[in-house]
Amino acid sequence: MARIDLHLTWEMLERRTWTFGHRDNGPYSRFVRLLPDGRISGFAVENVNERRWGLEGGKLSIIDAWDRKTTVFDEVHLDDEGRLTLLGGFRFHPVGTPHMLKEIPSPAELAPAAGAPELLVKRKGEPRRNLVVLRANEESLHHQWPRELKDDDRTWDLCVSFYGKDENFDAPDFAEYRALQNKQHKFSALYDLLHEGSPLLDYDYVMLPDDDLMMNWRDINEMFALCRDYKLQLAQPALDPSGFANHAITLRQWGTLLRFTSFVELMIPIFSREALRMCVPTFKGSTGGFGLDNIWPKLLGHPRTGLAVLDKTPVVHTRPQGATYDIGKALREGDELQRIYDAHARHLEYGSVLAQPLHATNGW
Amino acid sequence: MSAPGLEGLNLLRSLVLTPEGLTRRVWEFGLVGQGPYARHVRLLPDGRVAGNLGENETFWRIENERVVFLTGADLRSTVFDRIYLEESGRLAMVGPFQAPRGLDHVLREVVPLDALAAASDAPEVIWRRKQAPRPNLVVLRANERSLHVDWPREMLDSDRSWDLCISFYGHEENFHADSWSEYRVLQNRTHKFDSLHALLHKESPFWGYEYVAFPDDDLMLSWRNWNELFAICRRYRLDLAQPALDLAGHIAHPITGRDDRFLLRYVSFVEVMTPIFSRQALRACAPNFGRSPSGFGLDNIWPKLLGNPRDRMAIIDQVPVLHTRPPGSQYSIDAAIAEGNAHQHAYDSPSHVLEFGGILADPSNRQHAW
Repeated sequence: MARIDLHLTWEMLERRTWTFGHRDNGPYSRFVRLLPDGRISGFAVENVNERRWGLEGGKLSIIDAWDRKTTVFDEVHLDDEGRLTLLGGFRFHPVGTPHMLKEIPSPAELAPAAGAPELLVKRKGEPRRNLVVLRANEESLHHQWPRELKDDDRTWDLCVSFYGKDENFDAPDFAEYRALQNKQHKFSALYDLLHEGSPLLDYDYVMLPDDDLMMNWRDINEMFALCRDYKLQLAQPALDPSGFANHAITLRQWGTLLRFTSFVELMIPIFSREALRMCVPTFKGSTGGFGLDNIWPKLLGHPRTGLAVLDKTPVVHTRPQGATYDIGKALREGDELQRIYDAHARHLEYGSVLAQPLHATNGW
Repeated sequence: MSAPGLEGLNLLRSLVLTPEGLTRRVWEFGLVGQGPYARHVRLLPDGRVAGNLGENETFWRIENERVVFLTGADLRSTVFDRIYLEESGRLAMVGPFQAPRGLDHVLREVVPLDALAAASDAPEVIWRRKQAPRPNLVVLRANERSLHVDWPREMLDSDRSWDLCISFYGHEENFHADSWSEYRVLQNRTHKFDSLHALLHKESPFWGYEYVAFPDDDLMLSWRNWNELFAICRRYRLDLAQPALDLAGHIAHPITGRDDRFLLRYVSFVEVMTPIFSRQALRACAPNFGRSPSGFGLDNIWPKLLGNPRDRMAIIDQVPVLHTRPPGSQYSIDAAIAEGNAHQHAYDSPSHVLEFGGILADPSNRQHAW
């Protein structure tokens, strides 16, 4: 490891993964990334000293909740494998050991285009703005989704990732894209499908639902419209209490249009374009999907108004949690993922937008 | 051939509509042949429609070179498939309402009620800057009694994330340099908002700031409070916000009083006393500053100009400030109220003071079902 004189730029930093802590102690955080919007993935939301990063005069700094630089990394080291280590004094403990941001290998990247499953495209016009990628077999409910709007008003394309029998793959469907993926679980199939350069990554918002949800075309339109209007990074429709729910936070609440949460379940996540690129690599090799939904909020930097449960557009989850796989193995897989990404489950509500505004009295 | 109510207009065979061209125009909206439902309608750059319209006119979009209105669920509600040009050069767009059929809507360009001030009339701003501009700006109307000289700092000058501009309304002989403001300008013959209108002219250097606050000079808060206010505005991507008012001080509108359950509350109303505007929101609202020198009524019009957002206007409860003087101690309330009413009437913008939701001071824990 050699100290170098390097004028840092965002291009040099954006694809790297780090640990953060004091130089002479173990790291506080074993998985840190600098996000394009200036926030940091890797610290607790409540942490006031490390809210954002800044880059001035080729030096990286960490900024607190009052917009003060708390750490300025003025030493850059480079190791033989091209990894960086940055060192800088902590403002509130200037005589102590410096803070250290140490690069580590990224746990996973997007799949390469080579080896991608064959994607059959059947489209009449231009791509629509949003996309639903549905894992479906012969029993999928999506054939029964009520429409309640004209096909012309649909703002989303549909891609069916088919996990039924080979001979049923050709059954008629309104989907714009189809892929036969009946030898994998949901998220590893989606990982292969959403590879580097895939046309499926080129949408404003992408929903990844299971096929046992009852919802209608119009509500799907509205979910995407809410995501765009509220600039959400990751959202899900609330679950109607008449169906099955795994987590209380996903149950539909009356009185709220949406709730800003720290958690969105993997049953039907809706990702913004940028959030999807950040989160798809975590799908790699997943069997049960366990733990994935605890990692995504961490990767997105625990935004307070970026994740939401949409109470305006509830859906019915028609089947209980399935056990078509080895639960013990799935739980171990989830624990391992959470260890790698230094994330854990947190189900918080940060706030909400009301379904009906409250009238405040005016003093005049 | 022209539709009823549109006699004398020329149907255009083709016109390429650009978002830039559309978003700077002001419109009336209604049924063809009848009076407009809404005056002072604008198509906002982020795809929302401003103008106190309904659910059917939530969003707009250009499709096949035509403007389309959409509902909150993104269903087309009006497709403006005909474009007319008036002799004055203004546009009118007509098209069928999608449900029920048989009705035509018209979106008719009107002359804007307001405009930014011309650079040629700008007051002389005296610069005293030691470093590059900071991200944010505080423009303070101040006289000899201004409290800003007593603002506690609670941090270093080098940590300040905002520049200060003093718009001085005291006696000329007292208009002199202080130790830390970056800009100062003598404006002692005009009121707060006509002064700000003159200051925010077309070529003003102040357009470069991310957020700009316009406090009165009778507020007590610290330098560090300002840093935090601006940081919260950016973090929550607010368009228009204000600090909550400490309950120990004078409060004109109860909604602005601090509610300590919240970090911030999403509201439909931010008072003229200390508004903080994002750059885009200031562009949308500054032209009308000149219409109400006292500011009365302006705060009822801003939400309309910003498209009545549910999550972009907020009262920031985390940073309460103390309002030390009662309102009306320096001007005639009656005249100001009359001015405000006339202003609201012109913009077709009644006052409504609503809370849309909020972000909690302490996140609430939901029981895990497992």
